[in-house]
Amino acid sequence: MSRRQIIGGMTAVRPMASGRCRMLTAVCLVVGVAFSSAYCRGAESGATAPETKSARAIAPVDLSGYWVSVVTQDWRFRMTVPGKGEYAGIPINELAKAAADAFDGEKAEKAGHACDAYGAGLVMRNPGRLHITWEDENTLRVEADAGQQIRLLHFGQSPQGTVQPSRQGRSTAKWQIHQIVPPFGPPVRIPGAKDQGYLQVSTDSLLPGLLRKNGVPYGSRASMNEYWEVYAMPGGRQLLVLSSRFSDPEYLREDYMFNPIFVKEPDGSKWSPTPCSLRW
Amino acid sequence: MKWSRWNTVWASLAVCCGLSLPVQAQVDLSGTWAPRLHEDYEARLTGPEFVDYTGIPLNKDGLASALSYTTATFAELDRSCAPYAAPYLLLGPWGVRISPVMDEKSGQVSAWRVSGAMDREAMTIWIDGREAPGPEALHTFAGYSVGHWQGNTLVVTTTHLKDSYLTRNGVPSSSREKATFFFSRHDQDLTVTVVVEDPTYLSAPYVMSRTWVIENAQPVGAPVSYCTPEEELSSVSPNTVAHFLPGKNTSADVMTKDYNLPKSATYGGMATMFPEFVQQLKADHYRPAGQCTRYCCGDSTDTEYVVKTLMCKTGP
Repeated sequence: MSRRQIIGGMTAVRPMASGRCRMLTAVCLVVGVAFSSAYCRGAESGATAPETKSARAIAPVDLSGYWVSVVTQDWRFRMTVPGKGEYAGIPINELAKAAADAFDGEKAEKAGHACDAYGAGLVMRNPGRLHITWEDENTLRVEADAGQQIRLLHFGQSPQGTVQPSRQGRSTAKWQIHQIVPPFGPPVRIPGAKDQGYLQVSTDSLLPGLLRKNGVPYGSRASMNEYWEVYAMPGGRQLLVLSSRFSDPEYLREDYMFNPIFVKEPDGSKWSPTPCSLRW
Repeated sequence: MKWSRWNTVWASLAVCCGLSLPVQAQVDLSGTWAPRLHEDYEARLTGPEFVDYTGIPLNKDGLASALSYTTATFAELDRSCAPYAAPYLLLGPWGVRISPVMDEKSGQVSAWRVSGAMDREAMTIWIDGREAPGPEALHTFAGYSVGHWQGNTLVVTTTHLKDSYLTRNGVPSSSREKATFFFSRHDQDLTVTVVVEDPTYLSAPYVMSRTWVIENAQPVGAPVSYCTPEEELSSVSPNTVAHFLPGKNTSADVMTKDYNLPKSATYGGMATMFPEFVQQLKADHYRPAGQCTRYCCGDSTDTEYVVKTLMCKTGP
């Protein structure tokens, strides 16, 4: 048998392998495949293996930094305070329409309700900037300069028991890591892949607030599900799209769906905190 | 136990199988997807106001072209059946059907077919590794689309588009336009985001994002009609090119009359896309308009409610 074998496209001369050596090689290959398979399965998001690493450590995308909202959708309803009765696009019921028709922005602002338009149902659509940082290893802090609001996105198990309702509510986050479906076995994470996943956020325990600054309301039973996706624009700039589905059995006939868009900025030089306002 | 040749064969097979894992993720995008018109409701359903370019990064030429547009343009015989360019997928009201195109030899998906509608051509998104043809190749309203999977997102580049319109109120799009689509499926929702670049008419990329919802009950919302050009307006003769001359657009101030918006806003431009523009509005002494006069009842995908919404002209 020839001693010449092709290794990596180059010809090399090796001593002929003995039967025992061949056996060891084959065993190593089998063990290697088994190990590789186990590694892949262990890398699934929320899959079989218990998660020991922090959310920050396993983040498939880097959301931290400054992001500016791109107002190309619903421009007039977001950049200005729309007139009374302008509810187009929001699947409100008669109860919501009656409440909005009776809404008086000036009175609400004087009564200290200006920040009702900066709750989770609207804060990401208000024109402004986000500053995203890690509060700790398992909590993302999302700060909005418009209205000076802070959302905390908690990874891991939600706190048990009753949660005090708040303007931004309770947000539970989890990474959804992109997977592939091999010819056999369960889906696996793509080994070594970067930017291969997105963030899913569920929010509840909300205080009543506004979906539009002209008084379209949401109630205390409202909740929201969001998918935070980062895309690379041509030229390299990063785009953040929040596919949002807002539910409210009290004031909406169906889920209200909207997709706020942000573009990443190099720094915080344009960060401009402004107080809540129902006039702008 | 003695190691046999068969063990070596099985081990080799195991290695081969391991190495043959697909290198790209693939998500099944197929199905009928129903629209939700919750954002840009008026623009997508009834059509935008005549001169409302807010949030669109028009450059000087783009603005001039948009202001020359009249609705009679589509009454010209040679334009009466012209569809909009591919990014109109996100600007129209329609649902969409997506189906795979299978390569019969390999059994793999070689392309995704995105249905058309009465004013939009169907798109074929090739994901078999081919490249777009050269710049002199045929340009169509659907353009030529090639895609690849980035994780579970289908990233699509569409080029070779014909001169057309981006919006239904005459914002132009040129044959140099390039659209980058991102198709991301989240369970029952399909989010499509597009970045439109057009060096002829836009000064910055124009970004939009919409979500469709899977419709399991029946195919919906993507009617296709085969158009036959015919005279619609007696005022538009076969030798007429419908247009407004510069400075003569009779609808140029409709947004100012109806919504108190200054022309610095309604004429669009890159600055109108960003939060700082609120300061410009303040400087222009903008005051919110009073009572709503149209579309004052919200929105629904329920047809009966849509009709009611269109007729709803009163506020409280």
